[in-house]
Amino acid sequence: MTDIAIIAAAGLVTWMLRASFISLVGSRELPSSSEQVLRYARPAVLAALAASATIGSGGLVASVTLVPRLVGAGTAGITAWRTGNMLITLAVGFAALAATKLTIEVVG
Amino acid sequence: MAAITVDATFAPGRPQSATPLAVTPARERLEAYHSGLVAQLPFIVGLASWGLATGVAVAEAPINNVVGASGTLVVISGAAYLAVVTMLGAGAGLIGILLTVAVMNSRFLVYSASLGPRLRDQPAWFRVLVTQTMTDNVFAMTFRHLEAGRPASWVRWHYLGLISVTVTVWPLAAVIGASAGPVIPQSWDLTMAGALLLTALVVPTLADRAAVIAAVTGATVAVALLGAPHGLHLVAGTVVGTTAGVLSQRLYATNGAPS
Repeated sequence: MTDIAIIAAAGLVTWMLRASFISLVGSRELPSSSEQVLRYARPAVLAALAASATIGSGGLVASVTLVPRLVGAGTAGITAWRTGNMLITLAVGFAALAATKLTIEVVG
Repeated sequence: MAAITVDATFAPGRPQSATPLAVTPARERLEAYHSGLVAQLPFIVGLASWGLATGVAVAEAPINNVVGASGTLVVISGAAYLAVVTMLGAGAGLIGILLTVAVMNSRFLVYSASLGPRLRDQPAWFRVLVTQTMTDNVFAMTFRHLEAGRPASWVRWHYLGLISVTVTVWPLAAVIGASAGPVIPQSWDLTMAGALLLTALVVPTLADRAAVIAAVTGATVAVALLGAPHGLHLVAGTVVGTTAGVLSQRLYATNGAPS
């Protein structure tokens, strides 16, 4: 029962954060300076997410297991920039990741 | 709706009707929905691996499996929900869990503020739906189409296509993970699918040089603080990255450098 309540409360918190400017602030006009800030908040937040997900919770320990992940993410970024296609990006990124991993295993 | 009216007025081949079309024709709606489905397909790998991991965590935590798996539709936010389940398993209290969720999902404020003004001409039910279902990738892809000036109804049906995939794959994978355990070997790196595609989603936001600075700074700060509790590294990365972007944009504007 407590679990249900806690999960529901977590859902409510998430809902309120999303609703903040979509429903709660409603039709009020945001000041024009806010769009200027958001213009840089979007790349900042998405890049922070992407980089954290790439490195993983282990952090920046000097580890060779990080190398394939970094190569994969870098390749994915470049592929997305050149093609704009997510499926190709996923395939090429994974291929780069696997190839680097294999190379390290063979060489190391 | 407005766009359809314009369409009907300017299409020479189309007979002028006295009352402009109020709704998008079924075929256009279907096409928009379909394009959303297709656009979300690459994200299935990431959604499924997150869902499986969440399901495994549910099975390991002392909570009812049905409750734990259903929660994926209550908190449609992969990392935050995994944190909720893990913390429940570790015996954390309500306040700690809610604080973590609030910090981890505070980035939704950025998404909400970005989408809010652009969803004003959408019906209320749709805004409520967005409020419950918008995730990182769905935000990034929807925002891109709104920026490109797609008509409101097209965006709406495209969005429905996007989230159809999310709300089926992610709970289903959680159910499988909860009942079958870790079915995919960890060495497969499948969770990297999410990371690769998130990296790809940064690209369209890099509109000018200051945006690149914002992204690089945000990423660097977040990674440097990776061990921080409650996912505070993301908040720090966002705040410092945004500040760096705004400041360099001002600097470029004053010095007349190309942006």
